[in-house]
This record gives sequence, C-alpha cells and structure tokens, in this order.
Amino acid sequence: MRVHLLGVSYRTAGIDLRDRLAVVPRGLDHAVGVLRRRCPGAEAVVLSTCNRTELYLAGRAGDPLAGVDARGVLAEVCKVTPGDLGDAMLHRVDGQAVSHVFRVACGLDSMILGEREVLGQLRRAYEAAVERRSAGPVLHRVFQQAIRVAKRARTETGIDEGRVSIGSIAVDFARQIFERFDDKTVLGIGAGPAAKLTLRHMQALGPARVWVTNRSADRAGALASRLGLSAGGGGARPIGELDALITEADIVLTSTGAPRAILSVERVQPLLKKRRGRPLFIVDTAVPRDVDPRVGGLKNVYLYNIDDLQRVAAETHGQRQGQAARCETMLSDAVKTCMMHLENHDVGQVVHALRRRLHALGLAEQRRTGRKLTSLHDIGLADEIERLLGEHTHRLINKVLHVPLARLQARDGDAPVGLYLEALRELFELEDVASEGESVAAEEMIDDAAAPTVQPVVTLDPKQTTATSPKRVPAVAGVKVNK
Amino acid sequence: MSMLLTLAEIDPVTTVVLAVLCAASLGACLIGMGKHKKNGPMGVGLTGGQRWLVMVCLAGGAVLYAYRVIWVHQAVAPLGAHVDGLLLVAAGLSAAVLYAHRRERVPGFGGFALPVLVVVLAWALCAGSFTFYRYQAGTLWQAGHLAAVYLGTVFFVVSGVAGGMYLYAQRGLRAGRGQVRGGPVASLELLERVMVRGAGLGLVLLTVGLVVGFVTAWGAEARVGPGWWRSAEIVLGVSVWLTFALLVGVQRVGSLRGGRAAWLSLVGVALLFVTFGTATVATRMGQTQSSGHAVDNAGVSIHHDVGGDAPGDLGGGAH
Repeated sequence: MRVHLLGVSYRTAGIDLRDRLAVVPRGLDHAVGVLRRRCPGAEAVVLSTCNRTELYLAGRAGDPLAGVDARGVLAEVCKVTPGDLGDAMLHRVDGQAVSHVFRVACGLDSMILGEREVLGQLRRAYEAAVERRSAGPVLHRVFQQAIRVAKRARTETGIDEGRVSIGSIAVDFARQIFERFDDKTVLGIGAGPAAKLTLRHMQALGPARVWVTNRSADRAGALASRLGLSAGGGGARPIGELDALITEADIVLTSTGAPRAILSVERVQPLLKKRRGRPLFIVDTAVPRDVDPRVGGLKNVYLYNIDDLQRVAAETHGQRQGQAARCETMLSDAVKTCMMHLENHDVGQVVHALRRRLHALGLAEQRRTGRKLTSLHDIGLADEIERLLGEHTHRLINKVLHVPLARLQARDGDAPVGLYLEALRELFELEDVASEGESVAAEEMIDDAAAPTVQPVVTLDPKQTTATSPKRVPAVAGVKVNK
Repeated sequence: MSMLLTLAEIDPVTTVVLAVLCAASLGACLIGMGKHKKNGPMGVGLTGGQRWLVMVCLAGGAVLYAYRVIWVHQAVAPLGAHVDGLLLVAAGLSAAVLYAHRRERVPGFGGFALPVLVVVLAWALCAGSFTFYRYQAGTLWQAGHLAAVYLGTVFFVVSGVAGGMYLYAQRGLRAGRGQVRGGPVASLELLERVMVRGAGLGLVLLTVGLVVGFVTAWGAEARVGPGWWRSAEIVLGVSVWLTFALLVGVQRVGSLRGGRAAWLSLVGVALLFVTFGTATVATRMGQTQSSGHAVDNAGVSIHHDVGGDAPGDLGGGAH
C-alpha cells in the first residue's frame, strides 16, 4: 500500500502559478481521466483551492507511481508543462502524505491558521472523487478519518474560534451592536477595493439599504453596480448628501484616500441629535484616518479603525497558535492510528489472498494425486483417500503459513511489514482481491492460520479404516475423526 | 415600642427549603463564575449543572409557595408574608433564566441573573425567619396590591439584569474587545429592547398595584393617619414608578438611550429593593407609613401592628 501527495501550495508557489495550476470543477473529469491513464488501478482525489492544488494517489497493491514520472502526471493533470512547475512541486509519501491531509483538514496548513473553509473544500473534493469512483478503500479511510479528526480538533481545541479577516471582524462588531439588520442602513464612503470588500461582508447581513458615496460620482456608481445595489435597496449618492446619509445610516464604512479626516466631531455631533440616540457603528479602514478619533467618544457612537480590527485579528491568531500545538498532538495520534489501520487492512488482504492461493494450489495437487490413486477407488477407499488427502493438504498449508503470518502479526516496530507484504504479493503473484464490501480482519485471518480451528465433524465408519488403530489426529481445519 | 417576634410564626420547613434553594442558586452562580474564569466572559448558555440547579430553584420555589398558601397561611390570600412575595420573585426570575437559555435569545442572561437570584433567595430566607412578619391582606384589594407589586418586581428585575448586561457589553465594545472567547453577550439593541419591555410590563403591574394601594389607603386614612402619602415607602414607590416610566420612553427621548437607559434600569431596581427594605424596617419599628404620625404599638405583637391595617404601601400591606 502506498499513498502519494503531489501538488503545490501557497507555501511553495506564488499566486500566478497557483492560478495556472488550479483544477476547476469542470476540469475534474479530465484530471481523473489523466490519472486513470497514467496510473492504472490507482485511487485518486484532487483538491484544488485558492491556496493549493494537490493530487492524492493511493495504491492498494503496490506503488501507484511505480515507473511513472510524478512531475509529468501533475503537469498533465493541471494542463501545464513539467518545466512550468519549477521547484514548486510538493511530493509526500505514505505517513507524511496522510499527515498532510489531516493538517489541511484542520486548517493547520492554511494561510489563515484554523480557517474553516478548507474543511468544506476537502470534503467536496472527496465527494467528487467518490462520485467519479476514483477513490478506493485507502483514500476512503484517509479522507473520512481526516474529516472526522478535523471536526474533533475544532471542537476540542477551538482552533477556528474568532475571526481573522478585517471584513468578518467588522461584521462581528456589528452583530454585537445590532440584533437585526433588515431594518438597518449601511453607508459606504469611498469606492476602493478595501471599501468594496468590507461592504460585501456587510451586504451579507441583509441590510434594508446600502448606500455608496464617493468624491467621484462615477466611481461610486460603478461600485454600486458591482455590488448589485438597486434603487430600492440602495445605490450611489452624491457626496454632498453626506450629512443626511450619516443621519440615516446605522453602519458607516469609510475607506477613502482623503489626506485629512472627513468626519470630525464638529460635523458628527449635531447629526447625533437628529438620530435621536440611535447607535452609530463606524468602521474606518483608511490610512490616514477618515474619522476623527474623538468621534468614538461621543454618546452611542462605536468607532473602530484599522488598528482595532487588526489587533483583534492578531489576538485571534495568537489564540489559534496556542491551540495549534494541541491540534498537532491530536493529529499525530490520529495519523498513527490511520496508518496502522491501513497496514492492517493491507495485511489482511494479503493474508487472505495468500491463503486462497495456497489452498488453490493444494486442492489442485490433491486432485492430481487423487486421480493417480484411482486404482484404490475400486476397493471402496475413495472417500477415505479423499478425506486423508484433504487433511494432509490443509495441515501442510497451515504449517507453511504459520511462521510467516505470525511474523506479520507480531507488529514489531522495526519489522518492515510493507516490504514483507510487497514481497509476498510479488513472489506468490497475489491478485488484488480487495473489493468494496470485502474486509476481513487481519487478526482473524492470521489467527486462523496460526492455530488451526475445529470444523464440523465428519464421522467415519470405523470398519472402513485401516487395520491399524486410527490415530487421533490433531484438530485441523477440516475434519475431526471419531474413534 | 417593642417588637415581639412570634417564633411560632416562623415555619421551619420554609427556612430549611429556602436554605436549600439559596445554596442551589449559589452553586449555579459559582459554576458560572468558574466557567467565566476558565473560558472568558459568560456569554455562553448555562451548563447542564447550572440548568438543573435553576430548575430546582424554580420547582422548589413554586412548591414552597403552594405549601405556604395551603398549610402555613391556611388562607385564600396568596401573599401572606414578605417571604411569599420574594418566593414569587425568585421563581419568576428562575423561569426567566431557563426561558432565555432555552430560546437562546439573550445570550449571557443566566450568568448575570444568577447572582440576583442568590440575593433574592437569601433575602427570602431572612424574611422567612429573622425578619418575618405577616401581612394582613384580608381584602381582595390588599391581595391584589401585593400581587401586582411582586409580579411587577419580577419584570423590573429582568429589566435591571438586561441593563447590567448592556453596560458590560458596551464597556467591552468601547475597549475594542470585539472577539470575546466563549461567545459575546447579547447585542446592545436586543438588550435595550429587553430593558424597555421588561420595564413596560413591570410598569403596568406596578401601576395597578399603586392605584389599588392608593385607593385602599385613601379609604383607611382614619387608621393610617393623615400624610400617609408622604411616607418613605410611598415616596420611594412612586420614584420607582417614575424611573421605569422614563425607561419605557427612552426610545423617544434620544438623550436617554444607550448607557443612560441601562443606568436607569439599575437605579430603578435599586430603588425597588430600598423600598422593600424600608417597608421591612418600618414594620419592625412598628411605624406606619405615615411618617408624620408614628402609631405606637408598644406591647402589641406583630400581628396586631398597624401595618396589618394599613395596606397601600409599596413594600406590602402589613407595615
């Protein structure tokens, strides 16, 4: 069994390269097709987000990338040339690959530590693989475990608590002041990218009206269009109406490039009387500031500037850092457990295949020998011969398997179990017998081989035995003789 | 004037049960404080243990109240003593805490209300033993006055708790503490609404209680003496009414919105408790609510104190 991770992330590649390598949803079929062609029989999951494009490949009966150029596979999936990848490609194998999935799911590998979105993205990538039947038992287990552990880690450590983006922090402040937003008015002063970003966050709250104003009416209008503001629910207003807008607004987001404050105490204080004490929430993300800091001291005015928002983001980040260590410990244990289950499953599959192969061989030899003994059939000993040969074959195979399977079961920390399995597969030409519903516990199969079990009794007529008294044979898997 | 405390009037069952309820509420409070210390502000809902303890306070208070009506007073009057009124307030507050938790409407309400519940139950414990006195609410008017006053108190207390939460949340927001571990308390807008609505409901009940009280006292002026309307309890009672009336109108009076409204609610609750306390002290001193005419009841047991004949004050009929 082998698990590979191939890909790029924000840690290794800039935004331009990540843009080129991104696999969009409608490109998934092409990606899966390439992987099936280049790595036949391999399991695959493709994860592509704004921060990473990663291929997870697994092979139950060998290395899915054996004899295959990993770089070439990644390049072909992402529709670029191998040279375009440069030094940005990540390649992780087995435990490291599994550990990476778990860390991604928990948000430990994200640009914003502990972010929540990546878990949903990972889940969707896994579901897309299930839909296309490109995921198999190995990746089923890895991804299901990763999602489970990520949920537990988030619940127990709180690594995703709090907000870290400016827009979402502003929304959180708004929620602490206002209970409902469907009767509120939001005013955006300024039409730059920062204003747009914060306005979008506020728009998500569903306010009754969103007004945009700017020194340039055209830019205000353009921003209003981009935000989809209609006449009834808001739109662009001329900067000359700023006082009336502030009187009407409950939330003011300001982010202009003005060299001096546009909202002074002298301007705002008279407007508060007209507002009849309604609370006013102002977010000033401009530098230099658009709002005089003394405005924040006025009654029922709550003013936050970029420093306040970034301080909250830093505090949240600090809290998350504190929880990351706990998360890492949880993940480490989870990865070990996952790898152990995968190896056990692998062991179980190989043992099952080995037993089938050897029993098939034994049965074939038994029949061959039985045909040679046809002369004895004439004297009515055919059944007895059949039985004895069956016992003999079964005992022989059990004894042959006893030591190797016991070694596999020992799980000595230094034992190269993977190597043993690979060798068994190779030497005995074992087929990949795993199917979706078939899973036999490794312990059960190994114990079965090491300690022969008693099976239903076949009673023989003592008169048909040989002249010597029948010896009590050890209970073997097959037959028990009654005296 | 001497005050004869009739020990026979103190019901031991009431004392024991109130002690248990007090301990339960204190336990719930301490659990909340421990959670606050560990996790941050008490914005999250009640823990399982807290919920059970508050349910004990609610059920215990209700059962004790019924017991007192049926066995102790053996009378139709539902409020036979100040302790009964306080039991009503405690049960009402417990119900409010559980309701807020269940509906998840006012995060943090339980954390702020539980200390108040402890105070009310401790006061009830005192009122049921050390400072016990019985109302002489023999008429429907008197009973109605008491019931309206105590029920109104429940809503005023809820309003006051919301006011305390408002100031706490506002302080956090002013300090830029937007991201509060363990969850924030309810929004300022919601808290203001709870303050105003609580005050409004309490005001309706208090108005009924005061009107009934005035009507009754007016008719008994000969007994209570002239100038009863100038007594401490009446003045305080009206002050409470005015305070909460102002609170109800804050949304129309812009200058009173926000933190000032929160302080109004707290002042109103404080005045309310002072009024109850004044009524208790006045009764124990054998004074009527007539500040100008202290009726001398020397040598007479508390049952026969004038308080029993002079209903109409805010703290209860038997002062």
